[in-house]
Amino acid sequence: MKIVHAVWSFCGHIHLTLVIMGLMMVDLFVGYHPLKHHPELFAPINDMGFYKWSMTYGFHYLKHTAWLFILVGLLASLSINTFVCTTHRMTKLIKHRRSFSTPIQFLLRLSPHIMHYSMLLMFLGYLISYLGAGTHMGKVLLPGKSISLSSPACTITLKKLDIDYYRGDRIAHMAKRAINVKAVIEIENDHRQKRATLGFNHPVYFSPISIHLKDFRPKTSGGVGRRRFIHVIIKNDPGKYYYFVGMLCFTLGLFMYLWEKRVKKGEFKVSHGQKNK
Amino acid sequence: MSEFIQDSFLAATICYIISLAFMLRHYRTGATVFLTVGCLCNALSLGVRYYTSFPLLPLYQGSYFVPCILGFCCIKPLLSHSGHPVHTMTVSFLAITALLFPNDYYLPFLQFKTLFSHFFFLFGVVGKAMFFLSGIWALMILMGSDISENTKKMSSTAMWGFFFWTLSIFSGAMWAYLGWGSPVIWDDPLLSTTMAVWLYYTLFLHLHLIPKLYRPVPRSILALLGAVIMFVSTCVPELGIFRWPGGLL
Repeated sequence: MKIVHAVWSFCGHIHLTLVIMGLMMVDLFVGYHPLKHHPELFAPINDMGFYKWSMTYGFHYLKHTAWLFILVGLLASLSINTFVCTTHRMTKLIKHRRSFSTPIQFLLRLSPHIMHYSMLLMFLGYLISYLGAGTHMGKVLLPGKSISLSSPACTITLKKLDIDYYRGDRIAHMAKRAINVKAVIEIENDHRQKRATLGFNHPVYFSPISIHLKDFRPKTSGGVGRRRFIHVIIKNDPGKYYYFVGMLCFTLGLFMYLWEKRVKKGEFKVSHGQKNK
Repeated sequence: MSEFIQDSFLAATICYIISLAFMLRHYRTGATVFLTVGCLCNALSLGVRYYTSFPLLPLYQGSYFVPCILGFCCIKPLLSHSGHPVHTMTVSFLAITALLFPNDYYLPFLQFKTLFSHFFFLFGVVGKAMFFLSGIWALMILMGSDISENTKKMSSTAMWGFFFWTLSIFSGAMWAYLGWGSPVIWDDPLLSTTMAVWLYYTLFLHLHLIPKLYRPVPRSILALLGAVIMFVSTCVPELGIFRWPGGLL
């Protein structure tokens, strides 16, 4: 039992956090150079997922990618350290909750732990995403034509492609260039059918996949007989819910943390569950 | 319009330098006036820059934004007599750097067609300004000026910097997801340094758990180091090549 306790204390110690975070910072600074000089080695992570990438690019160019493997190891260590540390402190806080004068003070005191657990949730999301996400790359859609996916089984048809070109003169170098792309697509499988408009930063969701517009042609107006098409990224990312919920909760925790600091500074007074400036 | 943007920024830089000169001569009123005028010129330059290019995002032009935000944050300390030449020196240094190493580079704007990309940029520059301010208070502590009060200010600004930096990262993740289907885009080298700075300040906010380091001097050394690391790793890579400002030669 003593060993378990010692291991638990070691795993959650702040000095371990200091060491891990210090190493992570050094590792990230080292990673800047491979990312800057060899971006082509890292860009495929988005398409292939981390596992397939590590089996190909990762191990083949280990000299440039080693920092990323080290980073993953350090992230795993930081996750364990954060979980142990925050669970330990939160348990103590809950035990002593009666010593807080108001429930709001107690809740605000939990803010760092909300952030810690949210960070773990984000890490879990990234882990699921990089290990389990499926990406269909290089899918080109022509107006009126369809493509079929095998997993999940569905057909995507580009029904209509509208491209708006810039006609004003306020923005230099934008003359005749595309400023808006609206691609009306229809997705269907055996059970349902959906018609939606796809655009830049405006993906279309058809559970469990999301379709993102990557590129299109023609990019400038004028000329005749030019090929019109869109290039899409089709993602099946089960991790997205985790990291977005994690981000939302982290932001909430951050607001609570700032509020707690304000209360401590005396800018807000919390009494009987109400706040007064 | 491009000339107006450049000239108004040049005017802002000159005002910042005059403000610094006044501070060094202990004329606080004159320093405050010129700092305010400089900030207004800088803001005008940024406003026109944003208007003429919107919805294009000036993603690599944070160096023009940071001195303006930092300048506005320094007006209150100057007015309340807690200001120091270090404040105006930092603002002037950042403005001169932006002036001499301009980076007028825009990416294809269709990918910026979301508010998240603008939040990513704007929260990021506010975060940088806060980290600089934290570094300024840290330097003042190291010079022995009102340690107790400046320690509070240093911690508070570092905390706000962390807040905006985090919001910037999350906005960037949202934008990346909407645009490319992944919260991390692995071909931008600034990704790693941005995360490193975030980790640094995360650690800085955990210093209260390490009693040996939770004293004004070690904390101020770390805050100052943080500002330097942030500048070298996230501001310097965004600077362009050396160029004399138009009209000076």
